[in-house]
Amino acid sequence: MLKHNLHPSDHLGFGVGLRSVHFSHILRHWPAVDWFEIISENFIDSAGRPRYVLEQIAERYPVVMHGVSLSIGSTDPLDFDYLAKLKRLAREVNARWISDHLCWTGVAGRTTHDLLPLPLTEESLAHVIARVRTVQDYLERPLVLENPSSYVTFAADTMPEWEFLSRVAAQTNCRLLLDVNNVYVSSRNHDFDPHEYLRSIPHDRMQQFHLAGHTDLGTHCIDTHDGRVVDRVWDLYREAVGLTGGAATLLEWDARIPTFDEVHEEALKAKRFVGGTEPREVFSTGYSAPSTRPPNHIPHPSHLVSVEAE
Amino acid sequence: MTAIAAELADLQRWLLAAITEPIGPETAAVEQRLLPSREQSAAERLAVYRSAYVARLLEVLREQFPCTRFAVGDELFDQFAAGYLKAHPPNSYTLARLADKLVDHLEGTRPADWGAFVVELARLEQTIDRVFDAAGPENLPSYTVPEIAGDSLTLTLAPGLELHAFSYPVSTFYTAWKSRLQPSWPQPQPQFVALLRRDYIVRRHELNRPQYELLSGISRGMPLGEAVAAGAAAVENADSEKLAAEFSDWFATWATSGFFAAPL
Repeated sequence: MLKHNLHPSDHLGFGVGLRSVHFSHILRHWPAVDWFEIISENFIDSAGRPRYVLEQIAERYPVVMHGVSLSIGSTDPLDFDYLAKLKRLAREVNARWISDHLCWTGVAGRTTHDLLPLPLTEESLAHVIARVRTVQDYLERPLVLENPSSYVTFAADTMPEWEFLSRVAAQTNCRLLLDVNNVYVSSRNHDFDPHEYLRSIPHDRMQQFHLAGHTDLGTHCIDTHDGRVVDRVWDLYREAVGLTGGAATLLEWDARIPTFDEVHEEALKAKRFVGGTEPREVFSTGYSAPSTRPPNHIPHPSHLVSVEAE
Repeated sequence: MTAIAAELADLQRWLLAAITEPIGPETAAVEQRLLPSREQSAAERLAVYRSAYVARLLEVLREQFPCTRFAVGDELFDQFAAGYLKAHPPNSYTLARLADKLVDHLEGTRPADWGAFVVELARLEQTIDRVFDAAGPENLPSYTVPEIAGDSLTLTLAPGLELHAFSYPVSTFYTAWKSRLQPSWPQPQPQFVALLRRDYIVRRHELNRPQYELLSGISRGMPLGEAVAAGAAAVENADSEKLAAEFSDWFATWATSGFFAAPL
């Protein structure tokens, strides 16, 4: 039984992030996937194959738009041209919801194309709340905000991230996309208890879950989206499903992307945790061992569509 | 912006510089603003973002210019790319716009002994990228030029079709690279190319100079007669009867390849 106030049709099931390397496979096989999540920026300006593929997919599957450039926490003005493109695409592909991250990506007219953390202060909170309200008014729908992975914390912080997110949700009526892998990665990087995070967020605001792989470098973890979900993250997912009653769940795989079937198979593992009665199983390699690879892994997001040319 | 948000803005400007500037901030300045974790110092944690910034953007440029990268080698490409990113840091919400000024930057910074080859090769790759995702002809009806077309007929090139003149055979080089033939840098030789997307795949059509001049005339809105004259003017020692037959063949080929949209 759902513990949140979502409409049942919002519980889309177990989806896969749409990536250009899988376009041909999807158009050829129309796999039995519950839903797709797109990276909004890959499609809002497209008049070519990415857009064509998306239109075909949107006719057959529920589609959710997930962005990386809203920069809700930036002190630069909101980009209303960008928002207009989001709104138009959402209408054209009947996007079930629009999500982005609790972060900022740049300032002073520049961007890093990274999801940068905010200082968790009352000042930041007021700033984000005001901007979420503006964005929601413009989009005419609730925004769905995701907790990012982060690698620094600020001396100015006065509250934990879960409190910040909870207060944003309470005061804006926005919804939450809980990236369970990000909770784990940030808990490792910032020495907090991920279970406390899960217990403390508002379970009735949960719209969606993200799952992904990461790279464990021993001293810290990086959200690389380049492998399978590790067992500790599955454990947290099971706990989150138990606390919230479950929500639409999406697997992200953005680097060293395997075949579509392999990605889909990884996403479907999440089904075993719905209902909360399944015993813990070892799916991947047991607990993730620290990587011995050099620390040059690129955190999500990196979102360029590959060109097809003869 | 409120005074409170101005404090946030100050911190964001500092962190942006700390991440993107080639030389990072002093350790004391980092420790004043960022906390250590149990395993990492504040500076080590900041370094995650610093290395990711460069790595992510370099990866995008490598992916957008794979043939140019092959031509100059990985190390030199990365040096130019890093210089470009320093001179033109990203300012768009989309990575697809990251390289908008790369060709101009290459032109302004390339070694003199490179000639224009690398710049033109990068321009070709950038054009392929643009044509791939621009408005194209896929949803438009095909158009065949009537066999007896009057000189006053104005043709319209298919949406997204681009014509380019190069001083090096960069399209030939690109084809050889795509075929994994490890081509060497070519000698200067004019090359004319039409780039057009069909069925969502970018296709290159190599042209001769008269073809290029003719199609350029059409793209500038010349009536057919004037455009044909512009093409004919580029033919040396033209035999008018032979030329007319050739032009007819060209138009048939181009129409089959989807070069034309219905006339205005």
